Amino acid sequence: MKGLKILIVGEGGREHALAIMISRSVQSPKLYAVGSYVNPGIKRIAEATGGKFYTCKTTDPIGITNIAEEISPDIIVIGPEEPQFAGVVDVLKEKGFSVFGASKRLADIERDRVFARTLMWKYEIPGRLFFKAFKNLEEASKFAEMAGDTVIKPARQAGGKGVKVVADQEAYLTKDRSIVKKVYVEKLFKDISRKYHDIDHKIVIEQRVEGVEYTLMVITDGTTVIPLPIVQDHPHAFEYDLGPETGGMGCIAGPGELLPFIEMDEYKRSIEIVRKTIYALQKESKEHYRGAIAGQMMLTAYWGPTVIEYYSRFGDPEISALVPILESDFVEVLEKTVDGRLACTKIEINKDSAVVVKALIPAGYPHDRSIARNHPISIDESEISKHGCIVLYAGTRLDPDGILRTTGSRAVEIICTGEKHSEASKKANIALEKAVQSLDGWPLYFRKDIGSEELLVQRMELASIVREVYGYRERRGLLGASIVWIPKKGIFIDPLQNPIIMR
Amino acid sequence: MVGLLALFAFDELWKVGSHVFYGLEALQHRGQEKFIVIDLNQGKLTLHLFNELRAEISQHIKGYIAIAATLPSKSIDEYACIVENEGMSIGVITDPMNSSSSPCRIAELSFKYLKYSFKIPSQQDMSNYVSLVLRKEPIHAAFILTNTGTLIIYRGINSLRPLIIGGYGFDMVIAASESPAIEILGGMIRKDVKGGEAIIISKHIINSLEDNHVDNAKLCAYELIYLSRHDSVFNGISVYEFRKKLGMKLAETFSKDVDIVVPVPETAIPYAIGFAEALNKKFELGFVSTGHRLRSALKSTLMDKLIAIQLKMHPISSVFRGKRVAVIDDSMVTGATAKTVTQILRNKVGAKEVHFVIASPKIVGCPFNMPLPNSEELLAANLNGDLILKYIEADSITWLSLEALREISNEMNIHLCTKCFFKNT
Repeated sequence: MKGLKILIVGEGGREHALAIMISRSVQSPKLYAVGSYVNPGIKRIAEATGGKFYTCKTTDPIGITNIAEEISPDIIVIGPEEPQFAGVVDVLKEKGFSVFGASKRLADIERDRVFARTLMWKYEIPGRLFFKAFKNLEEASKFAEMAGDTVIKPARQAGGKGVKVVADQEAYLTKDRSIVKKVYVEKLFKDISRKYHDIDHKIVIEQRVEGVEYTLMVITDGTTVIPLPIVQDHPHAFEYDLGPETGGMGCIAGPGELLPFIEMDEYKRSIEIVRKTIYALQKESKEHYRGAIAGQMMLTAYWGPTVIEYYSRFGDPEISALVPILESDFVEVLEKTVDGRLACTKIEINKDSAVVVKALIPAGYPHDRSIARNHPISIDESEISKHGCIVLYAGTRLDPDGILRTTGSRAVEIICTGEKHSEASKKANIALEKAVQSLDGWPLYFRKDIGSEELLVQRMELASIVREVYGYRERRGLLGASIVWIPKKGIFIDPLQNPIIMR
Repeated sequence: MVGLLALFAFDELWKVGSHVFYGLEALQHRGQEKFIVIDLNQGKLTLHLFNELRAEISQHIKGYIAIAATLPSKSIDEYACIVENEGMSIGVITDPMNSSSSPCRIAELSFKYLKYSFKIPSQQDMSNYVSLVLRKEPIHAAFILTNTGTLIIYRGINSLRPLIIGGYGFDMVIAASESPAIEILGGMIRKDVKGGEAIIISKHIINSLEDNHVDNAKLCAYELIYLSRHDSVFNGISVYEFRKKLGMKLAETFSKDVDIVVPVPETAIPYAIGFAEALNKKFELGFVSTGHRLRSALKSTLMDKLIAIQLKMHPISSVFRGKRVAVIDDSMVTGATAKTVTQILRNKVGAKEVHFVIASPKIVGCPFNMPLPNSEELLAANLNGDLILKYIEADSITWLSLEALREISNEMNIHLCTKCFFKNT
């Protein structure tokens, strides 16, 4: 029997997680990987399976294709979004490769926020929010100043950066917040115009909602949609949910497919939302979606399950939470996905474990990566295994001198399990404290509170309040609706509905 | 006895002037003699001093980080200081326990530890800083702000006053003496600072140092009984619910027959609600205040106190005429309020009987810089029960017993400091 060969594109924690799950398959595939820097964790797995780690810019379709042709893999898995945006999948498919990952057009569900929001409105998918998109700076800044309680985002996915949430429910502070929004829009508009030339609109201003956030990841072959367990990420950089937004400081999952603050009905509704989005996306693009897609969701009073945004790939670090509980053969799932044979497939998970994932960052992340990068660190893997945890290399590169250095992003992830989240959280704290050291004294940081009972109780309390309100709104037929009465002018239902014409 | 407020924006786009104004407004019941703000703008610390809290003050505060306080005294030296040294400056605002603490000394000693070479302090430096500088000062709390953008929020190891941390989205950390100040600024409550805990906030890291901290630190009884807002929450405990429970407890020992229950405005309202509910008697609103909220117990001169009392207690005559009244107050300090009330109720509106119900034990003195008069001026420290009754001209006075107060605090898991109810402490 010819040995199966799998190539992973990408070099972060997510790709390390995928590599571990692939390497466990009974088919013992040879694992190959290509990343823009050497991820020591992925490299080791690749070499242990008889494969190899290549370095190449992952957004370079020609370079990636050349490597693929050298290996001739049975399946290529695209980890990050930027290679998808750059058309790597399209070029590989043209050459006849089987690819797990969204094509350039399909990945617009993540890349192009205007497209994603418009799609939801056009197909009347539940969980959609009001928004307005801008090509013109003056209009954007004027609108931002007036708009009140809003979120300002780049119209293009920019590595999760550039999002500004300005809660504005206190009339007496509105003036100050308006100024911040206006100045921010001007700054962001210039930034996006300079950095990205693959987008029409520069800025999106969305209705702000509040509630409990969670991520729903699914795997699809374009017909069948297989949901993964709900995962909750923690975007605040610092403990107690303080500080700036990051790509995620860690997440929790389990036991089972739900979390203590999300109910089965809400899980099912979320799956429906993502399923409808996939079908709408395929209808618009006339392509089959074969890969992963994730809904960054929030349980809100406005809609119940609500879409904050979509990812055209697995969430990072959310996919890490699957590593210790996945019981199905991941390679079999990948094969069936790329072949379009997912029907009747189930993903089995261990339903007894609570999972906690924590990311360790060098100080400076997320806003000042220049001071966060190039710090030497050491990682004692045996210490981590001693606590029954798994380490993932993320923003850590192995330099030619054999030293591990930070890249300025989240350096390392640790995955621990326990009967309860709090137990897994404590294991992670001890393991990270003991196993990861800064070699030049540069401060490293991780959130001890992720998975703590205290945070879980807060989320449960918030979810129960939100659940009451959206339940009421649903009974009154108000889900997703907003009604404004302007004296002497009349009553307006959904006054903000945005009729942007589809491309 | 200071209302403390700190605002830390991660993005320099913010100007926190209005936040400072509304935040201090939410705390001015803790002192309104002076208002002090230190803000950081373009690498420079500025100390602002205001005699009155007016919206215009926000225009003077242009920084993105600020520490501020409402003060119970006109002299600022024991509360705030900025010290400069070789181009670096450090500003300090404290809530002192007694006059031997010094904000300038804290600022001076801070340089050694806050002058780190990286943009971020090391854990070791901070540990030393907490144990060698902050822990040595007799303070309830201190905010230390450097012109390099590091803010330290410290709650004294023996502190009797709460300190709460909240967050506004991804943009701001807000700390305050009481939780409503955070919520009024659009923030969410995130954490109660523990006794002896220091939280270091910089753009790049937030670290909590809590070596040998006190988990369930003592809280001042007077803070809970009188000083805090009804809507304050400490360690998940609602001040309103605590007060209502004390009112209910009071009803258990109250033996007189009355027609109505009336609170002295405004702190006594929850006690009266609990008392009336437990006694199954009518709760009535008996008095209407004139002008903005005045805290009579915090006024320093007898004349100011009298003005405050008289202005907040204009009676609704129809409520009282011919009635047997239980008047509820949170505490009895000098007896001036009680005496004024009986005079109004008896002479002006013709109440039949006036029974005083006090929701705290007798206050005889405080060793911790609480806004209480000296022992010589405290009614209960100088007169015995019968004499108090005659002086006030009431039909009866019922005090909450210390045992009852302890029972309720234990039930709610509050660790109370009760020194003000004991002599010679």
